[in-house]
Amino acid sequence: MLLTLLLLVALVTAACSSGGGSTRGAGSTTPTSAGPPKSGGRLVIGVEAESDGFDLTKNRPAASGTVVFRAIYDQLYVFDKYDKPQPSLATGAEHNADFTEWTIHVRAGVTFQDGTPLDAAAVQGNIQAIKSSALTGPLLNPIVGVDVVDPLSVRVRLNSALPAFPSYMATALGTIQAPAMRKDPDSGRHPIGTGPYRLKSWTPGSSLVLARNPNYWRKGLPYFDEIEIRPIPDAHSRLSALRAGDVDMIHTSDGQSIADLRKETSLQVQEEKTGETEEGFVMLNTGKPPFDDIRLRKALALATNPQQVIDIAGAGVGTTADGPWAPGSPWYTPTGYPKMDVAQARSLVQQIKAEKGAVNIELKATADPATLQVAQLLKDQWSQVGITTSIKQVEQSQYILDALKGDYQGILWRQFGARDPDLEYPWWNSKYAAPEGALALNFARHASKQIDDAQEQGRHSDDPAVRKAAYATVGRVLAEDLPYVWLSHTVWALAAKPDIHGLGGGTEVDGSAATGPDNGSFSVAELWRG
Amino acid sequence: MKRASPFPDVDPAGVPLLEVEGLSTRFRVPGGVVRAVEDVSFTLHAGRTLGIVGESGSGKTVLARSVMGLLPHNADRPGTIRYRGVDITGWSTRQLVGVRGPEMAMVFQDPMTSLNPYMRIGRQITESLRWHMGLTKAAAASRAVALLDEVGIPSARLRADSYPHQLSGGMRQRATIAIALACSPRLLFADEPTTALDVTVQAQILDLLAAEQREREMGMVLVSHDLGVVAGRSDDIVVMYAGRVVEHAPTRTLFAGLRMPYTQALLAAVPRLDRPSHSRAAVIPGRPPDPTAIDPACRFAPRCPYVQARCQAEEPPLVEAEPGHRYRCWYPVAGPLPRSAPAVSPARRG
Amino acid sequence: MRFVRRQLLHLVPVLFVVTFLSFLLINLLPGDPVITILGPGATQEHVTALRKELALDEPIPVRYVHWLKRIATGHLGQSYVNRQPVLEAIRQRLPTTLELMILAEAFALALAIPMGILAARRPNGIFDRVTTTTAFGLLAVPNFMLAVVLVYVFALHWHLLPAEGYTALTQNPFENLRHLVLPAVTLAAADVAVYVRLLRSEMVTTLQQDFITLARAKGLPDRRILLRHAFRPSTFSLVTVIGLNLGRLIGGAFIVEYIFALPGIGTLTVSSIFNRDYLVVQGTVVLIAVGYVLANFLVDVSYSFLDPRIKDVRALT
Ligand SMILES: Nc1ncnc2c1ncn2[C@@H]1O[C@H](COP(=O)(O)OP(=O)(O)OP(=O)(O)O)[C@@H](O)[C@H]1O
Ligand SMILES: [Mg+2]
Repeated sequence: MLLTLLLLVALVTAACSSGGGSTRGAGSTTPTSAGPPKSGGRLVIGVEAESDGFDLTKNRPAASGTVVFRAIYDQLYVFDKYDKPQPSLATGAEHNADFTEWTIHVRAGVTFQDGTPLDAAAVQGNIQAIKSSALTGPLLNPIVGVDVVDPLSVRVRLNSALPAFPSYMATALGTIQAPAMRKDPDSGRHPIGTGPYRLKSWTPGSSLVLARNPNYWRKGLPYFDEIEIRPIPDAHSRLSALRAGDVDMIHTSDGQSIADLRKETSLQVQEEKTGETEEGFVMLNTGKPPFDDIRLRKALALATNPQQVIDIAGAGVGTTADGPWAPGSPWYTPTGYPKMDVAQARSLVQQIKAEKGAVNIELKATADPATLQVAQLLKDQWSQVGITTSIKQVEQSQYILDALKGDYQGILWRQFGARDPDLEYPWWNSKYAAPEGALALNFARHASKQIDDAQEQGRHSDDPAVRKAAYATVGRVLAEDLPYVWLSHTVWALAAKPDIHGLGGGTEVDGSAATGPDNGSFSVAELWRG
Repeated sequence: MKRASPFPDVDPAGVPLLEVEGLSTRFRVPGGVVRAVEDVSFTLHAGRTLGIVGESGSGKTVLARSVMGLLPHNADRPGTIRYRGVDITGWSTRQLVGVRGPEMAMVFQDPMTSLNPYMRIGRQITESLRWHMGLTKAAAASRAVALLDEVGIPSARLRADSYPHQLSGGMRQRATIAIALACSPRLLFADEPTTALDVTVQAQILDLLAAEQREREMGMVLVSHDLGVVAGRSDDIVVMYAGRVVEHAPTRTLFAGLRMPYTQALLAAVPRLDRPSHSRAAVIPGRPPDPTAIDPACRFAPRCPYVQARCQAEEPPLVEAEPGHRYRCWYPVAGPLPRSAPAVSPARRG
Repeated sequence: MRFVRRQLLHLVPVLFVVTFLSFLLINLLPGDPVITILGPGATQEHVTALRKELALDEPIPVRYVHWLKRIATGHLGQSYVNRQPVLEAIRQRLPTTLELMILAEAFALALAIPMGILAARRPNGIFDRVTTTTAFGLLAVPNFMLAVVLVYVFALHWHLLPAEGYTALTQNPFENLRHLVLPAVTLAAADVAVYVRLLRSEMVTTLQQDFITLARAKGLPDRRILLRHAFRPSTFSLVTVIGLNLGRLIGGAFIVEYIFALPGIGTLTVSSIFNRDYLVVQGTVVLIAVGYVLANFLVDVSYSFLDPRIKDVRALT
């Protein structure tokens, strides 16, 4: 019965696909401009998944959870439209000459929702907790220690130069949680932050209610009195809920839903414009046969027709990818990723066949229909050049483990949505590649001296041009060595009733435009109805 | 309040209670048509009893049910039924609902299956009282107890609360009689009311029915496969074979000079009290014919000890021997039979 | 009373077997709650540490015994993933599922009973044939497709009912009902088909019984005969199947809850299975097993209400 159940549920699941079914589009907006924002009222948002909890040290928020995180907590920094970190709870930061020490100043007069004042000690404890958490610790590897300098300043000591440190603090890693949470074993269900909303009630699987934080330090914000967040995992149901008026707003990365929304005139739609949404791709295990052979990886890339995958499996939503960044991103440069060339692929396969015999590969996919469709399409495309593919379905939690352990040949994957490329450090660095069997964050087990060097350069330089060049190298090497066969950039869209304003993103503390929706998550503080 | 009756309050003198004319009943079944009753006619006056006798399968039950309109959907029923002078042949179920109960009622063959096992005995009586006579709950209940008492059920008040399975066979048949009598019908069909019962109980039940009939001046159709049962309790007798009336006469006339070999055989098959119990008297050899078959022959011919060539070629019509005595035979037997043995050398009609 | 006690004694072995099997099954499935919690950033030390913390490093039988011991003292444990006590999670979600199933069965019966009775009135008549065809049609439509159609018509087109979501009964009974109508109808559809066929065929048999002819001979109108005399004796298979159907109903509720985003036991179980949240799965398995045994106990009890003869037999033993 269990198995049938899983299959049935998988059948109607489209949201949690790991493969690259969805793609990225140019982004279309129905602009709404209507007078000054109005306060009050209640907003109901339909999101794609339930969250585990809201303590960064214990839970891993996906897009849906991040919406709540950003409502309850503030971060030290937030990204602006141009992927630049801008101070939020911090007022600024200084670094020493070699970027190994950062002194962060926090805003005065801010209190947590439980009345505790925000001060340097709170920030220190918070960073230490994040650093020592199993979930977030590896991402803050460079941090060696945190000291309180004065009541409103902390100094972060690093083991190497990290000019991009503010960018780190502009991600979830910069989230500031109340000191009380560190003593609460059930903190995931009792989050306390400084953010525009506090958690009023949460019935997992049903609804989560946020109530306005009356003491929010950004005066005049937020606008809604109350926000209800409802998990509606089925993409189609979620869109139906919006159309039926059950919810005011949804987010989605489902190709079909976005294709439908593009035709919709009675709803407003905001597609994400950043170039840092996740990519869908085929990840190849370069650490073992058959994909330790660059010729086979190349043959696969040449034989793949990503546009067909986008058109058929992604309802035509989005664009093909040539690397981890899309043209909308400041980090984007063309990578020289090989164009589809069936003849060349075929001759490469012939070569390999002559040497090693028939080319049989295994492709792992999750059991949801969207992902399976992608796998099926790829199998067909690859069979055109003489590659025989067997598709193996694996369930989500095992799937991640297989990738970590390198227990796969090819696997459909979705990743690389960070706003600063340094945050992707472990996935590509040879330090994190381990032999099969050991857990390794460099899932493809792709070790490249060129990439390692470029990553160090990107990490330790504060010159944007140098950094951009460094990550251009990363993109180019990935396109040459082909640990990933790129399929598409994920498209996220927000859709809302016409009377909801602020979908395009809010403002920074200084009034400048903040970033818009980011990988499906968005800030609720400046949404209003009118 | 009693429901408005479609019949006159007082019947004009001489109008029979029930007239059946040329009644046939056929069932459409996958294999063809079962001719269960063919061209039956008879008349019954109020206060009198008509006995219907025949072997199992001869169509007695179907005949009785045809008159009351209790046939399944696959039945056709040409012919005419006049009740108290009114032709009720074409009446719908809705119209017949007013006839069944206060006008005609029936006691079924098998008391084990004819009572609703899911309903207390009392309820099964009160529901028709309340429906037809408009009695209140309490009035219906006490009337039901009185009825049960009347049909000889001891501690009737207690029994009214019993379920059928808690009663013996005889008690159950008494209960069905009480149900049938509940609305004081003018015509009672008693369809082999004792066949399923113990011999000792049989006489009691038949006596009870006779007493009730006398008291209420009901017309009664008493159905039995046993000519002996009917003999002493009916005014007229219809003998049926394979759906047809084969002999029809006033009881006295019949026994004075039965004509039909089948009646003779039936009479010989009557269980006798002077024989050892359970020993069946001469059973009629052979089986009744297939009710779906239609061949131009006497239906009884295959089993008839006197069968002649004509019997197998032509079906005999119902002819009158004397006023009121009809039979269906090419070569009828004459006079009564010695009651001790089956006929061996029957006299022939000259 | 003795009967009740015997039924409860049945429950014990059933619970043992069911919980052990489910424990085994989910633990043997590939995948690991630790990976669900830690995600793709998991390192070996963290995995080992967390596994120890959650007592997942012990062999399966030992863990099962631990679990049994805890459950004997009334503790179902808490979720690995969100640390919510299992009992609390179940308490929050059970009303939704119960309501959904009760409502679905109520709909199914409210539709199936009159349809079955009317169809049996004239077997092979027009109504019977139309019902039969409709019933088979309903059986052939998968839950989720029906849901999509219903949502389109009632939520998107006419805006009569919400497309998904849930309001607690205690919060707003009217809204609660509105939210459950479409899911319940979706869930009921296949049952209607089964129940109609079942009731019809049993009614047809009953209507051929002598006691029905007797009821006719009493001059009772058709309606009364069908409802008072024929219906009750014809409900045995129906009642039996309703009891057995609970399993199918739970399975169906899982899908329907997912489609309509209802916070019920179904969505809880499914997400816990995906997350390998063993203790939550075990909790729901216990609940479902108890519910199943209870439902079939009720079916048994209702037999004796339906047929007075059974009660007498039971009194004798
Ligand atoms: N509903 C029916 N459909 C088809 N044939 C039927 C039906 N009811 C009765 N018959 C047939 O009609 C014939 C007469 O049956 P009926 O019950 O009247 O016999 P009976 O004389 O009452 O016999 P018994 O003494 O056994 O009660 C039989 O051949 C029987 O099989
Ligand atoms: Mg009979």
